Amino acid sequence: MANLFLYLALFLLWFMLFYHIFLMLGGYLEFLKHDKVVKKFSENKEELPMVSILIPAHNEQLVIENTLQAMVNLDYPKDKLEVIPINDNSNDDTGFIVDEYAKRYPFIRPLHTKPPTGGKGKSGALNQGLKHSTGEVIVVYDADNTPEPEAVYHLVLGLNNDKKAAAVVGKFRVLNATENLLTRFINIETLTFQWLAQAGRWHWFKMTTIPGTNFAIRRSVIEKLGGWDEKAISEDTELSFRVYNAGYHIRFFPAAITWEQEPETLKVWWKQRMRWAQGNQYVIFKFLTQLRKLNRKVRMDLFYFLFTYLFFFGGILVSHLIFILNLIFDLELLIGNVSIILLVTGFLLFLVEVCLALSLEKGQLNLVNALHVVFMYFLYSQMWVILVLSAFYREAKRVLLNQEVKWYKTERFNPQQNKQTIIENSEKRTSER
Amino acid sequence: MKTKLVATLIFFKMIFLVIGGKTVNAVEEDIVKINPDVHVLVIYSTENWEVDENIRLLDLSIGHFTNNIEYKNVHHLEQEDLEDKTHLFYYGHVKEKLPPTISEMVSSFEGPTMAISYNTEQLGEKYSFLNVDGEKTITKIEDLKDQEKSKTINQSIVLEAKLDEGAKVLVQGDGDEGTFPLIMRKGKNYYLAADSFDRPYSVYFSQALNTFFDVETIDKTPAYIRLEDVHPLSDPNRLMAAAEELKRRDIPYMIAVIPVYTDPESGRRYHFEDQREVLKVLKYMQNNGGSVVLHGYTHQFRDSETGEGFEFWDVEHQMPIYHGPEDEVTQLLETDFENAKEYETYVETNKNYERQYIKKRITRGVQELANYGLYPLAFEAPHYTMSQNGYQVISDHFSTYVGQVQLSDEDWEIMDTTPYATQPTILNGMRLLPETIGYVQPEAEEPVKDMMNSADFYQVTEGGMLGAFYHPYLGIEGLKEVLDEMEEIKNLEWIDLKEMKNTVVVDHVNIQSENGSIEAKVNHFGLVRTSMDFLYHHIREAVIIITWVIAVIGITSVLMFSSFTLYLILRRRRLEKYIPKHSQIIDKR
Repeated sequence: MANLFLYLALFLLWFMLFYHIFLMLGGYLEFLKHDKVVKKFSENKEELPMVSILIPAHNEQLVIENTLQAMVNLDYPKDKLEVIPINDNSNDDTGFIVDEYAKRYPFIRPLHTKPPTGGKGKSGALNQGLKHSTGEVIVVYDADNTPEPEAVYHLVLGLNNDKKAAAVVGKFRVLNATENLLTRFINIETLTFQWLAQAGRWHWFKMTTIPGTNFAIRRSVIEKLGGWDEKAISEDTELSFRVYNAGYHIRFFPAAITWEQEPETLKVWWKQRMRWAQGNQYVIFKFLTQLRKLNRKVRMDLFYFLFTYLFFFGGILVSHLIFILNLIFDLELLIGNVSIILLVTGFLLFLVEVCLALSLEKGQLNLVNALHVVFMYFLYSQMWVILVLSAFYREAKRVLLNQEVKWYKTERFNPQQNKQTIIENSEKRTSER
Repeated sequence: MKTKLVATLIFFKMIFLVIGGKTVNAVEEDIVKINPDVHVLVIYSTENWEVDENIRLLDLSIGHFTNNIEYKNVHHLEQEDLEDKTHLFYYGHVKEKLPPTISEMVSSFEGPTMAISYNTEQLGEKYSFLNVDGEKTITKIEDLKDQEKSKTINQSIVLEAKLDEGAKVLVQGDGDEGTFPLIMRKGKNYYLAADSFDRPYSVYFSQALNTFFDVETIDKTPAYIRLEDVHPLSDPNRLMAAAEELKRRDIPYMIAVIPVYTDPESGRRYHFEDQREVLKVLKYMQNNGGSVVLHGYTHQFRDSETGEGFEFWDVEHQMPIYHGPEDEVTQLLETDFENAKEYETYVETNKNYERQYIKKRITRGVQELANYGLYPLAFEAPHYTMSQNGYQVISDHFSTYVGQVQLSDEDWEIMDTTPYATQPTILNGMRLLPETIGYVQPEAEEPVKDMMNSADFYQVTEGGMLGAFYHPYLGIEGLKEVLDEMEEIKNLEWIDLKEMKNTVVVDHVNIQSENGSIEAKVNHFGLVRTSMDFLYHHIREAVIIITWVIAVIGITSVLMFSSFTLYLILRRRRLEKYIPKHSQIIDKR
């Protein structure tokens, strides 16, 4: 029996690992050709469309100013730009800051929402913002983001040159990457996620998951789809599914870069990731129930999500369990030496895939980060296992007890501490070009 | 031109004959001398008027020459029994008054006649050339035709036979009291002056049977070595060492394989699929000179250990297996029944139980091995113990039996061997490859020397079989010693089971061997239908292969990604070197 479970877990895990190998390969190939794509797209001088930037903000007084400042610095014709900060039922100084900026910059046109229309979470705020916007292209930024000046231009460039793309997704980088062990981990994680999962899927399947920030979507499409799903916690994933089920591409365009702040404490990390995990589980089950309406590609991606959140973690848990049990009892496992080879190979794969992803970003593959990658395998990855498990438990409870969805807003950190980093990073940014 | 062509053709034909001749004269063809034209009648006098162990031992001897043998108690003999017979035996194991018609009937028989032991004075004129009275002790046997065959023996008894002139002594015994004829003849009438002919007399008796049946012996000594008691928990390294040693010497051999090991402590059963290393060695053996012999299914009954326990004999109750391991055993006698019919039913029920038990086990044994790709060509009962009924069951499935033969259904220790390969009646057509010279007994002082003494002894019978076995767990040294000694034996030829025609048939499995190759028909679908265990083995093999494939792809990917990373690092370095130079040029401008 133990053998059956071991092999089942092993095959599930390696099925996923092979898929990841495949995706990472795609990410690498995409990287190799991306520069050429950007160059080619830039040569095409098409007229720039009117852009509306939506920034949902609920009690974001700590970070909103930086974000608005970044909007001001955007390298996009201001007469074709409309920035709509959605002050969603805040009870701090968010509204005040937003209004101050609006006074100085006419293209900033804030929207203040109060219940009953407001205070319903990010999806609700975005839908409100959408109603008030006029742009042909809708761009979304989280309130803790500082996009690089050319970010919006690149997002639009992607849409202008790819008529099949309903949306273009940029890349996000971590502002506080060197703050502590956790942010270092998150930095490595986000880079790997973007090059492996996002760039890889884009390369092979022309699919990318909208990450909730730093993306542009055609107004025509979002209106046709009926806006954001207000019941979804991870409205971005949910929207992605609907977009590519409608037959569109979601282009990954890493030239559009934004910088965002990541959780610095475990508690905040936990809450944020819990929201994602639960949100994604909601999406999985929402679309599983309407599997017949989905096209083949979407089914596959859904299956991938299902695998990631259910089977992959199930496999990890089973193999952990067997590993521990085998230390205590003799389970008479038949697998023999090959298990050690697989164990080591699995670890090495993790290592080389992450290192390859890091090497795609200038200066990221250094000794400190490489050591963190090793450490990450034993610590950060295991944290994820626990997190997904409890997310599953909570989501199950929610479904069974029919609880209301709440917006777990990510707690922000005082950017004053990060000011230095921003400047440093912006210097780096310019030197990178 | 034409003559040249013919000459060339003849030349090639000769080469072909020389090459092909080897197969034709292979020792395997000659180990039995069955002549279909020989029809033997054995008349016997035994204590209970039935065929007993003595008669069965005689059966083993005669089975080398013919498989047409009829047995008749002397009191039931009728004239018509002698019709169409070419050879006659009378075995008077007990002294008794024979029916008065016997002497006339024996006298009327025209073919060669062999009398053994007592009552010869009642056989009529044919045996008037001798007078048997009293017993003598001898310590030496002399073959009068071949002094080399004279052997010193332990004290043995001969019946004192006084001969008329004109009678000829073939073999005689020698002792303190003088010399006494052991085997003698006058014309076509032979006599063995002993009340039984197990060792040491058996080898001389079998040799004399060549003259009796007028058979030419071969000038080769067929021999075999069998690796004994190989089961799933056998040490694969020791097995491999033995296999390689035998391969190095180019010796074909047998492997007595037990498919299931039962741990006496826990009662747990181990199969070969759990011990892939051992299985691997066995397959290597099968492909490199070894032939698998099924040696029971578990080689144990109740909770005894595999290799130690008896499988087809209840040794605790000294009886065949007529009951389950947990059942309470009652042994009823005929007197416990009201009438003969009830007793008969009881006996038949028991025998039927035994038949099913044996059939089930050997079927499963063959199926399991065949499922692994191991093809048994013969059978050997654990500890050689099995009832007469048991041999009948085995003969339904196997054409070859290896080892010694239990001759009694009352006592397992009454077992014996015979000098020649034989096809006796009691084995119902199976060919017996007798084990004659024993094995390396670790507790013996000079075990190999004991074996060689026996080998020396069995060579008295020309073309007699030297069958030996060895327990591979004892290590390779003992085996080397045995092989060294055996290879010294003049004219020794190792027999190869695969060269012989063997047939093994159980449900869904049909194995045939001939001319060095095995043809096995295994209905895997049928096997899986009998038990999912058979599928399990294949699934597991597939799973193991898949895991290795995964490992290989995984490692390849690791290498691939490492090289990508390295490439990117180098490319970036090159770019960084280039950019400053480039900008310098711009500056200068």
